[in-house]
Amino acid sequence: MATRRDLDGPGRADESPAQIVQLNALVVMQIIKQCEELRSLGEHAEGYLCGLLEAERLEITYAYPSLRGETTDQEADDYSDEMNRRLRQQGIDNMVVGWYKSAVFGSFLNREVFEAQYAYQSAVEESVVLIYDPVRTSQGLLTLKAYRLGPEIMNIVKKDGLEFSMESVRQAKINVETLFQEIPIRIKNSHFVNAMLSELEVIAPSPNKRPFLDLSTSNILEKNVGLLLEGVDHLLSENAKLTNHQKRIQRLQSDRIRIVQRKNAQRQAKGEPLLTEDEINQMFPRPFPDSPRADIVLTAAQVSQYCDKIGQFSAQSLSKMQMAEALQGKLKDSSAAFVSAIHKEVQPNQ
Amino acid sequence: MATTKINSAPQASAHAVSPMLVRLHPVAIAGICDAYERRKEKAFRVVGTLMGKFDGDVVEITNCSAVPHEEGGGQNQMPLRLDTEVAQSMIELSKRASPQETVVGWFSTRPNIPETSFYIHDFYVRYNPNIIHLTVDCTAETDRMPIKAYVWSASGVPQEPKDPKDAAARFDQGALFAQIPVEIACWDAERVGLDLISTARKDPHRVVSIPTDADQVLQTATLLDEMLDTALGYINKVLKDEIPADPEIGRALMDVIGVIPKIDEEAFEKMVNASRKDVLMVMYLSELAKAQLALQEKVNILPS
Repeated sequence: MATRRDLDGPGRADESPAQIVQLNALVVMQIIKQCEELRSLGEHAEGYLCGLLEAERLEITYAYPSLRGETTDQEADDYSDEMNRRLRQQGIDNMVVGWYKSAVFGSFLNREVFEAQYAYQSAVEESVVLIYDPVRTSQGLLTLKAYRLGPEIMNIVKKDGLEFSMESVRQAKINVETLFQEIPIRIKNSHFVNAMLSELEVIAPSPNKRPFLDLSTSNILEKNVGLLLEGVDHLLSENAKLTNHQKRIQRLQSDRIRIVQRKNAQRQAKGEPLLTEDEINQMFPRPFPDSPRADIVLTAAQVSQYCDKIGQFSAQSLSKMQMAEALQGKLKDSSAAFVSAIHKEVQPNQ
Repeated sequence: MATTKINSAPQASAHAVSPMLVRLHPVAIAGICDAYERRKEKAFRVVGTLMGKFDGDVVEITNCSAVPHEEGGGQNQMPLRLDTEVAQSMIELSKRASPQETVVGWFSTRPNIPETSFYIHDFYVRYNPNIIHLTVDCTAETDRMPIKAYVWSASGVPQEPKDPKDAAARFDQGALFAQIPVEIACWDAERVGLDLISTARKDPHRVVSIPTDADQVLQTATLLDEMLDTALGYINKVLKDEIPADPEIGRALMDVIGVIPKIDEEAFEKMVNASRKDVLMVMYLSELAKAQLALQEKVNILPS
C-alpha cells in the first residue's frame, strides 16, 4: 500500500484513504466505560462511533452504545437515527464512521463481525471496527485496535456476495493478512482536555499500582491455547468439508464424461457426427457448484490472530521471567560472571 | 428548534435520603469538557444532564449529555431557554441502551450559580428529588479547574405561598445549594485509559499511540528501576547521616521487604523453568499453526 502511494503521489482518490485512526480522550473513556459496564454483567458491548473524515486520517470523536438484548434491525436503525439527530443538535459530529466491540484474546474474526463490517464499509468506505480487550486492559495495558476489511476482499464480496468462491479468493490472492487490516491508532488531546487531566492529577493522582509485572502465565496461556485449538478444529472440519466437496465434483465430472462418451458411442453407431463442445455445454448448462470459502478464510485469519497474540504474550512473559530471575538469587552468579568478564577484558593476553 | 420556556414549576417531591457524596467518573468529566469545547460562540455557559445511579447517599456519575440552551447571564435580560425536548430524548435514548443509568443531576461549566440555575434545577427535579448540581469551572480564570457538587436543600421558615399557582412561590421558603464533596472514581480499566491519555500531556503534539506488550514491559521495568533508585538513594543518604531517618518511611520500607516472598533458590529456578518451558512450548505450537496456515495459503493460490 505504501509503495503504491509513493508512486502515485499523495492524495490519490482511488487510494484507500485514512491510513490512521485518531481518537480523542472522550472516545477512549466512553468505550472503556461502556465495555466495562457490560463486562460486569458478563456481556460483550457494542456501539457506534461518530466522527469526521480528514484527508489522511479518520477522526473519531464520539461513541455511544447500541441497544441491548434482542432487537430488530428496524429498532436499531430508529435508535441510531434518533441518536444521530440529537447529537447534531448538541453540535457533536454525527456521521457514523464505524463501530466498536469488546472481545477477549482477539477472538473477533467471525462471520458476524465480517458481515457487519462489510455493511459499514459499503456505507462509508473509511469505516473501522475498534476492538477493545477488557481482560488485557484490566491487566494494565490498554488494548484497543482498529481494523478494516482490505480492498481486495471488499471487491470480491461486491462481486460474489458474502459467500465468495474459492476461485475469486485464489485470483485476488486473499490471505490472512489482507482480510482484516490493522489501522494504527493515535490518541490526541485538545489543550483543554490536557488542562482537565492536569486537574484530575491533582485531585485524584494515579495510584501507580501496576498490576502488570505479574508473572503468572498459565491462566492466559491456557485460554489462548484453548481458543487456538478451537480454531484449528474448525479449520480442520472446514477442510474436510472442502475435500468432500472436491470429491463430489470429481464424481460429477466423471459422470458427465461417461454420459458424453455414451452419447458419442450411440451417435457413432448411427453414423452421426460427435457432440461438439457447444452441444456438451448445452447438455450441462449449470457449472459445477463452488464451495463457499468465506468461513474457511475467516477461520484461518482468526487462527493467525490467535497465533500473533500468543507470540506477543509469550515474548513479554519471557522477558518478565528473565527479569524476575535476575532479581532473585541470580544476582550473585551474574555479578561473578561480570567480574570474570571484566578480568578477561583487562588481561586479554593471559 | 422546539424550545420550551420554563415557567411552570413541577410538584415538589417528598424528601428522601439526600446525597452526601458524589463519585464522578472521568468519562463524565471528559464529556463535559467536550461539550464545553463544542459550545456556541459567546455562550454564557454549557449545561447538560448527568446520568448515573444513586446508591444510598452516594451518587455515581457515569455519563453526561449537553442540552442546548440560551441565557444572557449577568447583564442583559435574555430569558432562559432550555431545549427540554433534546434533554428528554437523550435521557430516553440513554435509558434504552444502558437501563441501569438514571438521571442523577445536571452540570454547568461556570463556577458560580446564577439565579437561572434554580429554574434549570427545577426542570431536573421532575426526574428525581435528590438530583445534584455539578459545576466544572471551565472559564480558566484561575489556574485550576475546580469541580464542585451541590444538593438543593430547603432552609429557613416555610412561608405560606400567597398564590399556590405562582412558580416563584416554591422558593419562598428559602433554599440554598449546599455543597457536598466530590470524589473521582475509576474502575481499573478506566484508570489504565486515563493514565495513557495523561501521557499525551507531555507530548508537544498532544498525541500518544497505544503501546504494545513489549513497550509495557520496558516502561514498567524503567519505572521499577527508578523507584528502586529513589529508595536506595534515600537509604544511602540516611546511612551516611546526611538526612535524618524518617520512622514512617522506615516502616514502609520494612513492609515492602516483608512482602517479598522468601523462596528457596532451587524451587524458584524450578518454577521459572517450568513456566518458561510452558511458554516456549505454546509459542512453538502457535508458530507451527502459523506455518501450516501459510502453507495452506500457498497451496490454495497454486493453479489447480
